[in-house]
Amino acid sequence: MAFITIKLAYKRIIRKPQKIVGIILGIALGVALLTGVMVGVASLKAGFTNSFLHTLGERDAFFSYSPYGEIETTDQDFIEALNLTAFQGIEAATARLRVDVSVFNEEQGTLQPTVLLNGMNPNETGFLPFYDDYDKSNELVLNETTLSADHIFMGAGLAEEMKLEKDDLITISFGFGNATVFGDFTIQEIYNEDKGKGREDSGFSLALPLSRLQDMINTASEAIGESPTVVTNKVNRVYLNIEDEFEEDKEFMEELFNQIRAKIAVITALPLEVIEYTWEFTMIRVFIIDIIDQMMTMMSTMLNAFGALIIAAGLLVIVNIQLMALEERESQTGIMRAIGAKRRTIISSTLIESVFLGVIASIVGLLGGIVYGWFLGWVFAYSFDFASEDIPLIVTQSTLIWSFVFGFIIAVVSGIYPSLRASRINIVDVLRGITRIHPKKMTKKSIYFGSILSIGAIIWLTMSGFPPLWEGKEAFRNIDDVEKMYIPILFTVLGPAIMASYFWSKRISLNVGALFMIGWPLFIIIWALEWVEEGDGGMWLISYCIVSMIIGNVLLMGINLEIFASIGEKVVGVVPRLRATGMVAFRQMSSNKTRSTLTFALFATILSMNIFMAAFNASMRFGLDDAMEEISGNTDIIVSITSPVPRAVQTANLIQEDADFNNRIDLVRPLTVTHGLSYLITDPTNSSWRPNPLNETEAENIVSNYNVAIANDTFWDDEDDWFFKYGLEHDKYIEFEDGVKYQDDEIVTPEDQLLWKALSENRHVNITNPNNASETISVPIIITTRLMTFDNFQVKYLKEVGDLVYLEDTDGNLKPYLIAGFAIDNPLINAFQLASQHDGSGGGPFGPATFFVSAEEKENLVVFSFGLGELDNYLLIGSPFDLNSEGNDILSQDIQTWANSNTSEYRILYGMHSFYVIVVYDIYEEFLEGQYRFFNFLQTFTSLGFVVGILGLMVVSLRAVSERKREIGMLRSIGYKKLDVILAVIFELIALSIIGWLIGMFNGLVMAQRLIDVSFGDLADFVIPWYPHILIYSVITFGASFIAAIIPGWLASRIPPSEALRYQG
Amino acid sequence: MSKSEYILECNNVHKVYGEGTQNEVHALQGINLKIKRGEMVAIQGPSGCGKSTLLNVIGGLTPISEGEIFINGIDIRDFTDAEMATFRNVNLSYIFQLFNLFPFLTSLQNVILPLLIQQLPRSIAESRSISLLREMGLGGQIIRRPGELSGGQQQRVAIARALVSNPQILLGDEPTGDLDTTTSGDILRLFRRINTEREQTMVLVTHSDWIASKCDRIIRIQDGVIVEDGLNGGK
Repeated sequence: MAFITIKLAYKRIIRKPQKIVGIILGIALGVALLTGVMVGVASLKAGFTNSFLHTLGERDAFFSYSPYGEIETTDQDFIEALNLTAFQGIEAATARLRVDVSVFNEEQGTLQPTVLLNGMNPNETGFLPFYDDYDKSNELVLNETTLSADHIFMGAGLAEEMKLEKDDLITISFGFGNATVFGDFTIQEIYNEDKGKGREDSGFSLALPLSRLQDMINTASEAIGESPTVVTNKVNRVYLNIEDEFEEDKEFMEELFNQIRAKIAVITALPLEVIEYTWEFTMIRVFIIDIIDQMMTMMSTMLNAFGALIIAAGLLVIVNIQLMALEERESQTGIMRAIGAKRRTIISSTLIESVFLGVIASIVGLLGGIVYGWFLGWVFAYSFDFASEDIPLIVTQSTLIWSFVFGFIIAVVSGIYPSLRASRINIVDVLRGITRIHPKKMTKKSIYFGSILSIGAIIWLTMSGFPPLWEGKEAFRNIDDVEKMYIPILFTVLGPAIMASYFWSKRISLNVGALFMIGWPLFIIIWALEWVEEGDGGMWLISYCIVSMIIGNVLLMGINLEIFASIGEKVVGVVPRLRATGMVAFRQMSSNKTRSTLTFALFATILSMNIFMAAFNASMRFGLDDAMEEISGNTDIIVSITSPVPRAVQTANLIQEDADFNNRIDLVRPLTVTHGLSYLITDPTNSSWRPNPLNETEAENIVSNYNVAIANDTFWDDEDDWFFKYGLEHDKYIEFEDGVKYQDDEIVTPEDQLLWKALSENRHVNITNPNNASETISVPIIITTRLMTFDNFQVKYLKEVGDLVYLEDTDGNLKPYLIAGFAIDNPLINAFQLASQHDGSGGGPFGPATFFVSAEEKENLVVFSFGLGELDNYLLIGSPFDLNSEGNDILSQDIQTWANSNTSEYRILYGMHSFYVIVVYDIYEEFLEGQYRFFNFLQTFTSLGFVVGILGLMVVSLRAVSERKREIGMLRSIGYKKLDVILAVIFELIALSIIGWLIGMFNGLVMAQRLIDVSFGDLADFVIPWYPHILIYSVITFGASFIAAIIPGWLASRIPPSEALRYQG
Repeated sequence: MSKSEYILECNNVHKVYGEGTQNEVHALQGINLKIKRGEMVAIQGPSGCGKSTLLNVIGGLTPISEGEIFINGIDIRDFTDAEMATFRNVNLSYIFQLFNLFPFLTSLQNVILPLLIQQLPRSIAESRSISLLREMGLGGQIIRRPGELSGGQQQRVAIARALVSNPQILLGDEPTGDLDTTTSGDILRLFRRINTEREQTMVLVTHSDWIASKCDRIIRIQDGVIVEDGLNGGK
C-alpha cells in the first residue's frame, strides 16, 4: 500500500508538472521570507558590528582617572609606569588627552559647540597609523615635525559640516577651571576617517600632537594659578588594544581591569576601594556588541512578527491552490476510492506529494530568501546612510536548516486540510459530477471543537488571575492584564458560537462569532486602552487585535458573501450589456465561498498590515505638529552659549538693544546647565552610602545627568503669565512646609506652573531624616526626568515622586533633594539627549537624565562650580511664530550671525563668539526622521506581502480560470462573447479585491487611528496617507487583480468553445 | 425549392483537427446536408465518426476547415467571433448529455441567462423563463440549484434554457445519454411535443436507435462522411 501511495503521489506530480508550479511558488515564497529575515538580520548584525567596531579600530577598552567625567587628568609618566603591555592580553596601550572644545570660523560665522580635540601620541605603537587624507590618497602622519606651529588636523565630518577647507582659520575654545582657553589655528590637513583607527567621535574631531595640547593646558593652568610643575604631561584616557582572543571576553576583561586597579593601588599607595571608586574602566567593544545584540533581537522580533502575517497570507495562497488541485482531481479521487483506496491512502498520498513539493520549494525559497536578505540589507543601508558594502551577506548553517524545516512544515500544514477534504468526498456524487449544496448546519465536529475552545477558555480565565470583568474599568487598568484576558475571553464567545452552529443556524452562529472577533478588539482599542493606567506590555495586545480583526472581518465577509455578491450584481446590472456577465461573475464568486474568501483574505491581510503601518507612520511623522507645539511649551529656539556670560546683560542686549529682533522675539530667559553625576541612593543609612560606580549591584545608583539651574523668572513672571509651559508628571501629593498641592497628570496645568515656581523659590519639604528616623529635616525639591533603566526591554523606574536623590555639595557631602515631579518630554531635555548622542556622553538608551534645581541651590553644588560661577550658558527663546514656521529658522540664523559677528554689540561687549542656536522644531524633526526611516524600512519589509499577494493571485487566477474551461465553453455555447468571458473573470477578481481592500482599509486605519489617539490624544492629527501610500497600495491591489484576471481571461476566451466543452481537468 | 426553405444547409463541409501536425484528424470529410424548418433529425454513427463535430460546426462552436454552412440562408463563415456569439444566442441552442448547467446558478438563473445576454429587461426575461420552467413541470424547482435536482429535472432545466430564446435550431448532443430509460422516454416525449407545438427544428446526436426511431429523419455518419440519410418511416 505504501508503494501505491508513493506511486500515486509521484504520478500526480509528473502528469502535469505545470500545475504544481503554483504550489511550489507559494511554499517558496514563505520559505524565502523566513530565510530573507534570517539572512537580513544576520547580515545587518554583521554590518552593524563591522561598522560600529570599525569606529573603534583597535581601541577595545579604555580607562581614565575621571570620577566626574573627563575633566580630571593624570600624569603620562604614571601611565607609562603601569607598564600596561606587560599584562597578559594587552597588545598595546596608548594615552591621549581629550578635551571638549567649541570650534568657530569667523568667515562663515559658524560654530560647533561640541567637538573632541584629541591630543595624540605620535607613536601609538600597536595601533593603526593615523588616518588618510581627505581624498584617501595619502596616509597622514601626525607629529611635532609634520604639523606646523599654530596648525591643526581636522576630521572630514566636521570640515563638511562647517564648510571648511585646508588653510582655513578656526578658533577653538574650552573651559578650564573658571577660565576659558582660546586658540587660533590654521587647518593643515583634513583627515578622512574611513580607514585607520576607526570613525571615532563621529568625525567631529580635531587632532594635535599630544605635547602641543599638553602645552596649551599647562599655559591655561598657569593662567589660573595652578603650578605647571605639578603635572606637566597630562593625559586623561588610556586606550587598550586587547589581543583578538580576549577582546570580546567579558570575564577576562573584568579580571584584567582588576589587575590594573591592583597595580594602580600599589603605585599610588592608596586602598583598592579608593582606586575602584576613582578610576573608570570601560570594555567598549563588549559594550557595543551587547548593544548590537539587543538591537538585532528587537529588530528580528519585529521583522518576524510582520513576517508571520505575510507568511499567513502566503499560506492562504497555498491552501487556495491546494484546494483547486483537490477539486480538479475530485473525479480521480472518486475513482481511487471506488476501486478500494482507503481514506488513509488518499491522505498520505496527498501529504507525500506536499512534502516532495515542499523540498523543491525550500530550495527555490532558500535562493529567493538569500536575494531578499541581500535586498533588505540594501534597503537598510539606503535608509540609514550606510555604505551598502559595509553590510555583508551572511547565510548561516542554521538559516539553511531552518529553510528546509520551514518548507516542510508549510507543505504539510497546507496539505492537511485539502487532503482531509479529499478523503471525505462522496464517491457517488463525485463520479456523477454532482455538486451538493452546503448544509445549513455544521457537522458534529463543531460541537467538539466549540467545546474544547469553551472549556479551554474557562480554564484559562480561572488560571490567569487577571481582575474579573465585573470590576468594570478597573479590570482594564493594567495593560498586562488586558493582554492576558484577550484570548481567553475571545474563546469564551467563539466556543459557544461554534457549538451553536450545529444546533442552530450555521450562518447566524458564525456571524455572531465573526462579529465578536471584530467587536472585541474594537472595544479594546476604542475604550479599554483609554482606561489603562499601568503596565509595560501592549505589543502583543496590539498584534492580537490586528490579527483577530483581520480574521473576524474575513469571516464576516466570507459568511455573507452572497449579500456582497447581490450588491455587486445589482450595481453591474445597471448596464444592460453587463447584466448576464455580472450575474455569472458574482454568483460564481459567492458559490465558491472558501476559495473566494481565501482570495480576498490574502489582500485583507496584506492591506491591513501595510495600511496600518503607513497611517501610523505618517501620523507619527506629520501629525504631531500640535503635540510638538504643546510639548515645546513656547520655546521655539534654544541657544547654547559655549562661553558662559552674565545673564542680565546678554538678555538685555538681545531683546532691547537690537531693533531687528523687536517683532520676532517675545521673550528670552536664561538657564545654567552643566553635566555631572548624581546618586540615587535607596538606603542612605547604610554605612557604605557613597556608592561604587564600578560595583554592578550599585551601578544604577549613579545617573549621568544634565543639571539645570533655573532662575526665578524662567518659567513664569510676576503677573502669573507663564512664559515657558514645561509640563510635569506628579501623581503624588507633595506637602510643602506650608501646604499641600498638585495631583494632576495633564500635560500642562496651573499646578505645573506652581510646582516650577516652588522650585525656583527653593521651597523645602519636611521629611524624616533617612539617617535618623526620630529627626525631621527640611529638604529642597528637585524636578527630574523620569529616572529609568531597561532590563530586557522592560522599563524599570528607579525613583518615584517623593523619593530622594543626592547631589554632591561643595563641601564634599551628598545633599538630599526630594523629587517633586518628573519633567515631561520637552525641547530642552530633547536637546540634551541629542547633544549626548553627538558628543557620546551617553547615559543609557534615552540619553542622560535631566535634573532641575533652583538658582539658589546651584551656588552650593559641585557640578555647577566648574567654569560657571554666576554665569549662564543657555537661553530659551520664544518667538511669535508657530513652532514649525520658517520664521524660526530665519530668526535662529539671524541670532547666530548677530551674536557671532565681529561687529555686533554682543561681540564688542564680550569679545567672543559662542552662540550655538538650535531651532526646537529641528530637534523633533531629527527624532521623527530617524523613527520615520525605521518605520519606512519596516514598511519596505511588509510591502513584500504585495509580492506574495500578486504572485499568489496570478497563480490562483490562472489555475482557477483554466479549471473553468468547461464552464467558459458552456457560456460561449449560449452566446457569450470573448469579451464577456474576460469581463466575468475581471468582475469576480476585482470584486474580491474590493472586499479585501475594504477590510484592509478598515482594519489598518481604525487600528492606526486608535493607537495614535491613545498615545497622543487631541494633540496628534491622524494623517491618512492617501498619497502616496494608499494610492500605491490601491493601484497595486486593483492593478494586480486586473492583470491576474485579464491574462487568464484572455487566454481562456481564445479556446474554441467546442474544445472548452470537452475539458475534463 | 428556394434556399430559404431549408433552415440549415451544409455544403462540402470538412473539419480537420490538428491540421499540419502528426496528430491530424480529418473529422468531417465533405458533409452535404440540408434540413428543413421544423424537422426533427437524428444523427447516428459509431464513436469518433464525427457526429459531435458536425453538431459543433453547425452551432459555430468550432470553425470549419472547408465548405460552407448556411443557417436560415446566412453564411455563418463570414461572422466574426462576436457576431457568431450573438447569432448563436438568438438562433441556436444546445442541450448536452451532461446538461452543462451552471452549478452556482439556480434553475431560473440558468434559464434566464440567454435572455440577459440579449439584454432583455430582467422582469420580462424572468416572467418568460418562469412560465417556461412551469411548462417543463419545474414550477417548484425555480430557486433550486442543479445539485439539488434529479438528472431528469436538470435536463428539463437545460431544455428550458435552450428554448427560452426561441432558437431557430435546437442542437442536442446525446441529450438522454446520462438518463435512465424512463426519464429518457419523458425527455423524448417532451422533445416531440416541442417539435410539434412550436415547429422547432431539432438536430439530435444519439447512439440510441430507439430515440432515432422517434425522429423524422435519420442521418448516419461513418468516418466523417454521411453514409445514409433517410426519412424515418417508423416514428
